[in-house]
Amino acid sequence: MRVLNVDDSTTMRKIVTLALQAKGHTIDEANNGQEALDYIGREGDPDLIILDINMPVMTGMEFLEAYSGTSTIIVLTTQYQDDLRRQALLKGAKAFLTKPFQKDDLLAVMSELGLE
Amino acid sequence: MMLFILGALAGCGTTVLTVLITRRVRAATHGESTAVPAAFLEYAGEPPQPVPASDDEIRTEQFSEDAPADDQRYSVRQELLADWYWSMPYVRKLLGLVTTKTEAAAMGLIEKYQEVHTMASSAGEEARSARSTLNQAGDGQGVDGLINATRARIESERERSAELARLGERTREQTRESDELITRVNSIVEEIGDIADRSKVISINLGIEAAKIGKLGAPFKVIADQLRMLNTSTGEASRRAGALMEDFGAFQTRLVDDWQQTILENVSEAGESARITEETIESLVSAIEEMRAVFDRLIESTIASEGSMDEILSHLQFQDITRQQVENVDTILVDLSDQTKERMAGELEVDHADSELIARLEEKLKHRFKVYDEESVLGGSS
Repeated sequence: MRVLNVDDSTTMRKIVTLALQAKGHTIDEANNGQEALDYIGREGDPDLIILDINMPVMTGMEFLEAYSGTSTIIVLTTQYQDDLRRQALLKGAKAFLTKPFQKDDLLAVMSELGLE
Repeated sequence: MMLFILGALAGCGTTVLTVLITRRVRAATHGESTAVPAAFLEYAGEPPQPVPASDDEIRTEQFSEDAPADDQRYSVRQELLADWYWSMPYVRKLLGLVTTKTEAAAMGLIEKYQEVHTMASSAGEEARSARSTLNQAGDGQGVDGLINATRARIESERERSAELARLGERTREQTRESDELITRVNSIVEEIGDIADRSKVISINLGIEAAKIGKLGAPFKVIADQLRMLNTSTGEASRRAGALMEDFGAFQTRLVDDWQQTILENVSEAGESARITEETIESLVSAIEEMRAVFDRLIESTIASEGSMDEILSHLQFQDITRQQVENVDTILVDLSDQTKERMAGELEVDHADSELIARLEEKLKHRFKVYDEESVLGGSS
């Protein structure tokens, strides 16, 4: 499965990549929402987008507003407010996880979404 | 608001601003809380309580026991605000270093995590493979199957040896029966010899009697001669037969003795060989069980290690959380600086950086808060 990992934190990108690579997925990375859109423009829709919210240039919420593709989106953020979560889900995210996450939790959510 | 800042700073492990602001408030409120600048009052919510000045207070010397004049307080306030404002770049630089350095540390840990994870995974895979080999060896029957088959073969060989020993014993019994038969045959042969001897006497007597009757006895004499010759031959034949039976009996005894000796030796060797093989097998079984236990422990350790590794990844995410908290604090600092600049416009010289003042403040901060100095804690600026 092809995954786009969008986060401005090098640490987080690496951690998410490690968690998913172990399952044999192909991981690409973007530093913010705009880079994610640029990537999708070049490479097409990945199967899954792991999306941070608080990022420079283009936030995760702005990305959700701008994106109209077919990828499944899981939000992974340090921010947890009910309103933010509701807004993200309304804008197309399929799941909302907060940091710090456990690898098994992320994999379980992916499994529930049919992404093995 | 001020409390929030202090809390946020304490939460991310950076108390530079906390101390800085507290010190300024102390200086500004020494002896008279109403001297606190309006900007601080707004952020603190409540005026800070006066606290005794310590020896290292920056501006204590500017206050006297006498009530300070308004212009003096105003001047102090202006200097405090200038200090506050121009300290911000250095404070923000330290905060930036916190992010940079913790991220570098986190990435270093992740790199080590990958190495350890790779080694642990490799060790676990090797252990699983070795465990599988133990279970699949010998055309899929596994080491246990091989051992059991070997044990069965040893037992089978033991039974065959025992059967061979029993066969030897039966042969010995049959030989004894054969010896008895030979003895009986010898007895018959001896009887035949006796008969021949007696018949010989009769033939002699017959010859004597035939001689007595002269010419008429001549035919009887011929018969007597023939009979004597027959008796002689019979006696000789019976003696040879007796000797032959004795030789046969002796040969049979030697043959059976040799054969039985060979059987006994072979059975003994086979038994010893089976015993050694069995001991070897048992040693092998112990070694394999130990190996299996080691592999199992290794596999369990690998699984536990992978769990711990996942925990490490989970904990490392706090670097990102801290980074965002630091960024939040930085945003607050920028906001405070902007508000300070805005509120004190025309009174505070904030449009033009006073390099001498900034340098002096940096030195003072470095000196006073060595713990937070990037060179002592963060390993140098980057």
